Amino acid sequence: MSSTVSSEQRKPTEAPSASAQPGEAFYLTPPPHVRRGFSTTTRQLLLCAALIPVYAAAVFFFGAAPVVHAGVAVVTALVVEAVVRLLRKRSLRAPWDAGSPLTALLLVATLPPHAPIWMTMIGVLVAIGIGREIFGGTGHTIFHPALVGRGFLAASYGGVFRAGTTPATPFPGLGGRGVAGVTGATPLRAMAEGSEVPLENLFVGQVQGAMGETSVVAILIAAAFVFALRLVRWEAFVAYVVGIVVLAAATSPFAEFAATPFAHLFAGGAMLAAVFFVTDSETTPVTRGGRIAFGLGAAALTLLIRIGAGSVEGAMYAILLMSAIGPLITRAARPQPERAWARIAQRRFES
Amino acid sequence: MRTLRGLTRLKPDQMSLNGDEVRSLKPTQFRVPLHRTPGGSAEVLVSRRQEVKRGERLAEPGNESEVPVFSPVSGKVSRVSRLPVPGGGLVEHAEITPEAGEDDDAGAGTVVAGDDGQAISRANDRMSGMIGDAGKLAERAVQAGIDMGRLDELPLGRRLARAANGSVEHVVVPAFGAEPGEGLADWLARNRPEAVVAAAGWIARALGLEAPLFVTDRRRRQVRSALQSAAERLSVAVRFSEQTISYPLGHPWVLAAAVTGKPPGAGAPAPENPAALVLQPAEAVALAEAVSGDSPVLDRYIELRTDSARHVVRAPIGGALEELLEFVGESSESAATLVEGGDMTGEAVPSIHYSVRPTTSGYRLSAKVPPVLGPCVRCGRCVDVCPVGLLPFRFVGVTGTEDPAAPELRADACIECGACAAVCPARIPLVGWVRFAKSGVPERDLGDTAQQTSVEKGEAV
Repeated sequence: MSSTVSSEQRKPTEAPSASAQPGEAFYLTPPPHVRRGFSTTTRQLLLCAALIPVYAAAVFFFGAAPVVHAGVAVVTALVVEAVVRLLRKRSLRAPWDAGSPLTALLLVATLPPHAPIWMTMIGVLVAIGIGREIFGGTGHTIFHPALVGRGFLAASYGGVFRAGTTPATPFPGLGGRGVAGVTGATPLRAMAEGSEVPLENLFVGQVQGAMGETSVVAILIAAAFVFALRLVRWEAFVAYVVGIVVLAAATSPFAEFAATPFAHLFAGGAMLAAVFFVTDSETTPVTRGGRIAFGLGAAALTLLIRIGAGSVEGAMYAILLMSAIGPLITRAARPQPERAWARIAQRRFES
Repeated sequence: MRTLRGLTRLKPDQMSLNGDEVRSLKPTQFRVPLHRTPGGSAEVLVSRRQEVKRGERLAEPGNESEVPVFSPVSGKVSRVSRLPVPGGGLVEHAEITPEAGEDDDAGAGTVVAGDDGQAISRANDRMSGMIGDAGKLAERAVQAGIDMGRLDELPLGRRLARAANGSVEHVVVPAFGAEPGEGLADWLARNRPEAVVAAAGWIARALGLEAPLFVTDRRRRQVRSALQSAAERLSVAVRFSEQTISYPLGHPWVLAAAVTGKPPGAGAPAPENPAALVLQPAEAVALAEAVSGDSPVLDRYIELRTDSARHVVRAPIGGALEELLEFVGESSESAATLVEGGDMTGEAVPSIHYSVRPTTSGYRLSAKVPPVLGPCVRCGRCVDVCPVGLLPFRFVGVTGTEDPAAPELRADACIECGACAAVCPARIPLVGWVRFAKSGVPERDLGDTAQQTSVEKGEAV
C-alpha cells in the first residue's frame, strides 16, 4: 500500500471524510498554509537549465559529443532510477524530483569529450544506482552521486582521463570548432609538467579537458543564473574560490607547479565544482559557518591533491572527502535561541 | 537600522482591504464556546432548554486564563456539548437557537461601526477618572469577556492585571497585519481609529505611561495618519514607530523584545515580557466598545479572505461558519483548505460546521491543494529564516520529549511562527514536527504520523 500523499489521491471532494458534501470538509494540515520559493523539483529542473551555457560552450569546442553523451546519460539515469525503484518495490508514480537527470548532466560535464559512450553509461549506472538510489534517492545521499560516478570511472578507466594526445572524439564527423593550438595535454597536466597555460585560454575554454569544465566564462554565466535565483547557497562557493586562490598563492613558492593562483582556479574541474558540487545542499553542511568550513576544506584538499599527491585533478576527490565529514560539521551546529533573541532585542525602534 | 537577522523576505502583500464597508452578520444558529482552549475550563451556568437573554452570562471563568462568556443572542439553549475546535481538541459549547423576532433589537448594547466617534469620545472623557488604576481597568476587561487577542496569549484583562503588578515600559499596538496577507489590524486602525487610540490611551495611562506606542508599516502612511488624527480629536498622547515590516515582527513576543530591547522571560502560556504589553487593535476596539457601550463584548470584526476577495464582517461570537460564508456570498464548494487566523500560524478548519470564536481574527478559504511532501534536502533555508535561531530541519522524525534527540533541539524556544515551513522546498510541515517535539507523545501512539515520517524519510514511497 502506498502511503504517499499526493494531490491525485486526496482530492478535496473525496477527502477527508467520505460522508462529507463538497465544500463541507477541508484538508487538515498544520500551519503555515502558504509556501514561498521553489519546490525541490523546480529547483532541480532549474539547476539542469543552469547547465545550458556550460553545455553550449562544450558544443562550441567539442562538437556534438557533449549532447550525445548528455542524451544517453539522461535516458540511462531515468532507466536506472526506474529499475532501482522497482527492485526496491517502490511505486514508479511516487513523487519524482528531477534529481537523477541533474546527476547525469553533471556527471557528463566532468567527463572528457573523447570518452566512449559506454563509459558514460557505466558512470551513470554507478552514479544513480550506487551513488543515489541505494541511499534512498533525493535527500539521503552522503556523497554527491555525480562525483561517485566520476570517481568510479577515474579509478577504473584512468587512461581515458589522462589521455592527452587525443582530441579525437568518438564522433569524428561531428567535431566542433576544435581546440586549436593545444598540445593535447590538459592544462593541469601541462602545469604540473612545468609549462604555463595562458589564463585567457583557460577563461574562454580553449583547452583540453572535461566537457563541462573547460570554459570558465560559461560556468560563470551558469553561476550568475544559479545564485540570482537563489537555487543554491553562495557561502561554500565563495569559500572554495577564495580558498583556492589564497592557498595557491601561499603555496606557490614551494610547489613545483607552474600555475598562478587564478590558473589553479580556472584549470581542471575547480570552477564547475565550485558552482555545482561544493554548493550541493545534500552533501554539504547545513549551517552557514559549516558551508564556509566545507568550502575552505575542499579548497585545501584540492590543492593538496593537485600539488602534493601527484594526482592531477583534485577537486572531485577533495569534495568527496569533505562530504564524508560534512554531517559532522552539521552536527556541531547548536540552536542559539538566546543569541537570536538578543539580536531581535537590538532592533532600534525610533518613535 | 539593524534588521532582524534571518527573517524571511515574506512581505505583507496587499495590506488594504477592498472597500471600507463592514457588514453585520445575524446568524440563525449559534455555537458559543464556553472556554478558550481544550485545556481550559469553565463553570457552565446554563443548561439545555434554558431561555437566555442577549448579554446574559453563559459561563464563568474556570481558571485564571479564562474570561466570562456571554450569550450573543436571546433565545433558547438547545444543547450544551463538547465540540471540536480548529487546532484539535474539544471545547464545551452552548448551542443557542435565537428566538423569533431577534432581528429587531440588533445592535443593542454595541456600537455600530461608523458612528463610534461620538460614543468613544464620551467614553474617553469618562475614563479620565480611571487614570492610574490598571487593576480596575483589567477587571473591567475581564468582566466584559474580552478575548480578542491571540490564542497563545492570555486574554487582555488577564495580561493587564499582570502588567498592573509589574513594571511595564511600553504599551505597544501593532497597527499592521501580523502575518503576510492579513489586513484586519490595518483595517481597524484606519476605520476604527478612535476606538483603537482611546483604548490604548486608557491602558497606557492606567499603567502610568505617557503614551502608547503604535508600530506602523512604513509603506502604509494612511494608517499612521488615521491614528494620528484620531489621537488629536480625542486629545490622547500617542507615539509612533514606522518600521519596514518583515515577518514575524508582528508576533507579540518578537515585537515586545524588539521594542523593549529585552528578550522574553519564561511563563505560560506565553513567555512573559514584563517590559511591554502588546495590545492588538482588535482587543483595543473590543475594550473601547465595552467601555463606551457599558456592555460585554458579543461580537467581533472578522476578516474573511478567499483567493480573490476579502471581506470585513462583524460577526457575533458563536456565529456559524457556514452562515458567515453564505452572508458574504462566498462558496466553499471548490475550496480545498479553510484556515482560521493567518496563513502562517492559523489552524486548519476541517469542516464547515465550526463557529466563530472570540480569538478568531478571520478565515481564509482557498482552492489551493496543500503541497506534496518531499524528503529534506538539507538546503538550510529553514535555519536561515528561523527568527529564534533553531535548526528546524532536525525536528523531522523527532516524536516527542522522550525522543533522545529532543533535548538539544530546544523545541521549547520555538514560537511556531511557521517561517521555516513556509520556505521549505520539500514542503515539510516543520511546525507540526516541532509540536511533536514539544509534546510528550511517545512514538508508538503516533499511528498515521509515523507512516508520514517514513514518507519524509523516503522509505515508504
